[in-house]
Amino acid sequence: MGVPKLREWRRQPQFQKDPYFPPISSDKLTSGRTELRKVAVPANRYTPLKENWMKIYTPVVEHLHLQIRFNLKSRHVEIKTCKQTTDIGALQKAADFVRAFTLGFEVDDSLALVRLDDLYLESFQIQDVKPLKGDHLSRAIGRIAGKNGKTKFTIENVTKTRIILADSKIHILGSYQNIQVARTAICNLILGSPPSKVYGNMRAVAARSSERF
Amino acid sequence: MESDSKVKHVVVDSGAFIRNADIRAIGEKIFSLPEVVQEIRDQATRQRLQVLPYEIIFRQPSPESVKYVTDFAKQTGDYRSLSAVDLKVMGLTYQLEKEFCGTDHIKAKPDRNKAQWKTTKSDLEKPTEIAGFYVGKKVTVGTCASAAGKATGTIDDKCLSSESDCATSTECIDNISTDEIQKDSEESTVPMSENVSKEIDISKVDNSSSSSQIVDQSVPQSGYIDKDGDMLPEELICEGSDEEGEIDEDSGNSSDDDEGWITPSNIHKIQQQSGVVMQKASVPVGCITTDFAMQNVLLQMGLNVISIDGMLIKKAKSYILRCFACMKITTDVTKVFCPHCGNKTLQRVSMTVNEDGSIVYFLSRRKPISTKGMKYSMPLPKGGKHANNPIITEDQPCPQQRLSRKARQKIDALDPDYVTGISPFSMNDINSRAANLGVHCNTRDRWNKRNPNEVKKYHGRRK
Repeated sequence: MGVPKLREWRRQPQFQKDPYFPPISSDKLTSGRTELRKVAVPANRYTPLKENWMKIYTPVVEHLHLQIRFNLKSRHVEIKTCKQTTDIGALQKAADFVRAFTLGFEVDDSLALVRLDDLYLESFQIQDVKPLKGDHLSRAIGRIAGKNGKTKFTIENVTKTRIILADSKIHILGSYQNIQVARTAICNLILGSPPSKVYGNMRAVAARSSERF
Repeated sequence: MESDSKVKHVVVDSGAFIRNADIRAIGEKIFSLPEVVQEIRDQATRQRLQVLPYEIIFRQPSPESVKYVTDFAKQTGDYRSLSAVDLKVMGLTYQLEKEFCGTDHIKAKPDRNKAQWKTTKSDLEKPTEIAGFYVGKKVTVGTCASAAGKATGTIDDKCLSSESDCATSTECIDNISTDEIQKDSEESTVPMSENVSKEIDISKVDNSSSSSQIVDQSVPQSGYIDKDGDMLPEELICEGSDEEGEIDEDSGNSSDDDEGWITPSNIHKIQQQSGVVMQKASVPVGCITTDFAMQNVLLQMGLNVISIDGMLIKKAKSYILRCFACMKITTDVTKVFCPHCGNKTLQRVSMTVNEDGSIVYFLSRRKPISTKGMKYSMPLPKGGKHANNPIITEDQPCPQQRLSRKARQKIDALDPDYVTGISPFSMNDINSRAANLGVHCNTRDRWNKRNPNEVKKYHGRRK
């Protein structure tokens, strides 16, 4: 049965009586209970949080219709659903957004998580790739960053991701495929490839993937 | 938008065009000057001005009104930071105000005697004063009782006492707190401290068993609420009392109390409190400007100033610089060196211009004068254009080191067209001269960041 024929068939009277189920509101789905998420803020991100607090709470409250506060005792950002919350996924989005900020991403970059559904965060350590120590480790970090952060910025530009290089920890924010490309590039740098070679490979992969879409 | 909430005659400065304010929604008749339009150099703004959806009435102010404004600006001390076009824009505002409202309420002289100096002893940037930052209740029992000092310990212990109780007692607290809010706001802080000290004694004797006792007393609780009410905006407390029914429902979760939340219903109040005090403008004559000096002069004259989002500015809060060597004030906040004595001794002082034109300065006693860079001798100056030398005097030649245009571009994730973009993030600038020189947004005062005489870390066998 072809598609047009199927449509005809579906328009028959017995199908017209099919019950219509509107998408359930988050309020009903959680049966009126409020959900709470807590995101820990490390000491090094406390001052940036204070400075960017308005930029953080505005989208969470106005765009996602959640409640937010910062607990000074436990140093947690607490996000809660309320009656105005319409989207069931809003709480998870807001928690991801704040978590990305606490990892070191800028607010503008983290906001992409609120807006787009196919963005992910990935974290790993240099030691996961190769057990480097001392000067070797420092050099690997230096290779990833490059002079004035040039290598890191180039990887970010080509792969359309954002990378945080916090000592030997690496956090990547981007879509699934882009994270893969960026991670491969970083892993090659850790293993000792010269940046020029990594750029070439990365550009080739990025060009191929952009052709596909 | 209904016309009664609009400004009847609005004078527009170049700042409003550049920031792309929705002027049609703000005012009915839009006035400007040809010089204002000529002043705009920005390509995008010029293109926008070519196809305006409204008509601008170009009008020149009379020489008398410009002179009046000029004299006033000289008296307020803002004259130096105003251009000829600025004065004309203010002159036009004054002239329109004279035509449509009369001159009775316009001041001829700034109220200099009204300028107040206030000193604050409290820490200006207390984290609890930030909306949405709240002092949570401690969960761990042992550490709190031992570590808490006398002053801060009062809150901790009270939090502890309420936390260690079961759900019924937290309900009890909530009931008490809502009843007591009204009383507490009137009470002075002196008797409060007595209550607090009493409470410490009880909690010190036996922490775990006396907790229910404390809750029953309900007097010490008032101290806690009052303390909190001082720090947090009043709306937040009201919010808490409104949603009391909700607390009772999920009282099983004891950590889930109702303080300090920023909610969709109170966010507007919080945003207004964090910025200037605003009100939707519906006045006969107003001036849209982003220039602080102009706002200052207009407010002191008694004319209406409108922000670019159409709100009436009642109180311009800003900062001025005060030299702690010669005690003179500098209104140009971009200065690093005192224009009067030439020393690098400027301190930022916050200042507000109220609706009635009175000025209040707030001096902070908490911030000590920085002795940074006093301990070590200066590094030897190096040659070359991009040498990283300390800046000692105002006229020292130095490269501009601006960010490239690409580096300044930002993507707004909440923009409606955002999803259609190529990349979710803005592009990093890596090829421009600025990027090659290592100019980032946070490298303005690079020399001062690090101690130049610091002992370098030992790097193993590196040669």
